Amino acid sequence: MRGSSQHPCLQLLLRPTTFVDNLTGYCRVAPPPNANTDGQQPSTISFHFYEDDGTVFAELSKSSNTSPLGKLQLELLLNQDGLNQYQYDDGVLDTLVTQIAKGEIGRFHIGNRTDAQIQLDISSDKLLATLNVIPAMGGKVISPSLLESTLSSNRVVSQCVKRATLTSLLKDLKENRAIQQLEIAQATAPKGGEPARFESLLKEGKDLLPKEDDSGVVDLKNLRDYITVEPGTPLMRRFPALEGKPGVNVIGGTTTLEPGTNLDFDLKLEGSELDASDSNLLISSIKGIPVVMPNGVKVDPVLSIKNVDHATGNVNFDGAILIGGNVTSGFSVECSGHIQVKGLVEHASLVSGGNIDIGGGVVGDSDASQPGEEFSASLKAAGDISAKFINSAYLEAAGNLSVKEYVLSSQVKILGELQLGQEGGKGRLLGGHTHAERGVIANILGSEAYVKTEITAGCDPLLQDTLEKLVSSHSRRDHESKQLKEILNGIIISGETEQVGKVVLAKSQKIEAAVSAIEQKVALLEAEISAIEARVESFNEVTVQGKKRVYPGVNVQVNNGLKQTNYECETESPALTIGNEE
Amino acid sequence: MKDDTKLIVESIMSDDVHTVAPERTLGDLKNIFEKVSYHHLLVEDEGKLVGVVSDRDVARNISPFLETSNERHSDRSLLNMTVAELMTTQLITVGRESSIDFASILLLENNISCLPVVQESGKIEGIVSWKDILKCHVYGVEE
Repeated sequence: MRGSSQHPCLQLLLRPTTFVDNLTGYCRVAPPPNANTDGQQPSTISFHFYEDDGTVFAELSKSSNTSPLGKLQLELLLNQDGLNQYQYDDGVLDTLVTQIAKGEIGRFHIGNRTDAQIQLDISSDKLLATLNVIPAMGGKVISPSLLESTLSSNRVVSQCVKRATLTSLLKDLKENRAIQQLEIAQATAPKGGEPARFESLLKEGKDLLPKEDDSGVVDLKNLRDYITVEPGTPLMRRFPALEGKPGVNVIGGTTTLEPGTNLDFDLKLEGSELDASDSNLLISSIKGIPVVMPNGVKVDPVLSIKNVDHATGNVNFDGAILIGGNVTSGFSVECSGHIQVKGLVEHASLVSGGNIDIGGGVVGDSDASQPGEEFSASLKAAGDISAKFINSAYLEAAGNLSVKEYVLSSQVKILGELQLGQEGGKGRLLGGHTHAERGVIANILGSEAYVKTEITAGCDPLLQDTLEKLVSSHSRRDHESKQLKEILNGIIISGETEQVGKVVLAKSQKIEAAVSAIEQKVALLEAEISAIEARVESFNEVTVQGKKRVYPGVNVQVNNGLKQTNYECETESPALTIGNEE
Repeated sequence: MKDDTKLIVESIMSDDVHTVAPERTLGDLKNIFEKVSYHHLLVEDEGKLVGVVSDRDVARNISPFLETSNERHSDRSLLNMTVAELMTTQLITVGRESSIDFASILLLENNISCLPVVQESGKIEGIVSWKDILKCHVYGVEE
């Protein structure tokens, strides 16, 4: 006879029954031949739990005077008897309610005692171990020793186990709580190496950074204080790359070590060399103007000239040029470094591989009858340009243009910002056409004579066209990749090989290679799109400002990337900012 | 060794494309295919590709009794069938920047012999056939 437990109250309510020995597994015991299935009289029910195999049975028997029981009453009976802790099949109580109502008799296996179950998952990259626990239903909870053996059998190393998580986990296990996707162990991240870095030793170099005043104007005058170094001057120090430290994955393996990238000085830069006693120190080999580069310093030799005129002729020099006086009419100066002119540039041409700094001004004139409007004075710089004033000149710069007094009837094309009016200058932009990608800051735009002054700033519309084309191309290549993958899947599923004569075609390999090539293209397009999007976004803040007055005749177009602002001044206005509008 | 994955359709496609309108008839197609050496025509409506029709589509729909002593009235009236009724509308296309490998796989795996080259909007830009691709592989493309 198997042992069973029955609540005393249940005994009173239900008629005692005789139990069957050696029940095995999940089975339904068939009702005896005299089972009442005609539904005339509801049956009575008793529940029995068998300690030795942890099964729960319901026994339905005949009754002469019993009311039918509902599901809630059955739940109450199980609860009263302490049997509600076990696991029951879905809908088993509903079935019992029906059987009782029909007056069926018999013994039915309805539930089981179950132990808690633990499952540990380790991610494919072995960087994370997660734990799931299904709580016990009347059975044993997960003991600390079982947890430990689960971790050890999965080879999870203790150094990756999260201590704080473990403490709360042990409490939850003891209290038989369900646990889902608990991150119990995590790889220790490798410490990447640090790349080699370079540090300029030119103290004045820090002063070369543009400074902004209270009104947001950047004074580039400081940038013009060229430093001169003597031979042997320390220029730059190299700090070699640092090795990284490997990490440990959750099963004790080492994770990828990324050593720091080693970089060397660029020794092709002229005018500098390695110090004989310190290979991490770069020193000047000549006297000249140092130009700090990302991984080295170029020292431009300085050519000093009093004036550029008939005595010198046109000047073409590989290095920096310092002109103590003027560049006179009709002459040209071209050099790979900076150009500094202390006086005037009149009807002359200057081309610089660095900055152009003119202490005086630039004077030219233009022939509007010529196609493209030729200017007799032109300045082209790979860096910034600064001057006291500009009159009827053509200016082109990859950096900023800084003018103290005015820019008059000129054609300006710069990738940086046009800044007018530093150091108390008038700061007027008048006539001509100005395109400054990063905006314009001036005191006065236009003049009392309503001179036509064309200003454009911000994002080049062609950039957005390029972006649209790239997005379209990306979408198309992405679709093509999906098309090929569908074809590839079809080939893999069919499992057939195709032959041409005696040759077996490596179709899937070829398609995989084509997919890979397209995916590489997609990745390149994504990078290009991100770069252009970032560039377009960088124009969001671009404005054209007339800080004191804007006169009729001034036409401004600011392209902030997603929004374009067109402004045509019709009445004299006080301070005005155009662009970057909400 | 030449890197085929970098070759694109634009370099081998034909941009001189013969198109027909969907309202043209089977009779028109018959006349066209009798005069030209190619086997496919792109069907264009309002500047966009809407279908492809081949000489095989024409042969399939034309009566064998046409222009014979057994010709019936119904045989001749078949010639009034429109291109829209004959054409294939399940379009498999490429872009001018698609790789030649991609185009080759589409041709082989879909058992077709030419691919219209279109913009995303459907505007026709050219056509590329298996012969174009074969020529490219045999004779190469001038870099």
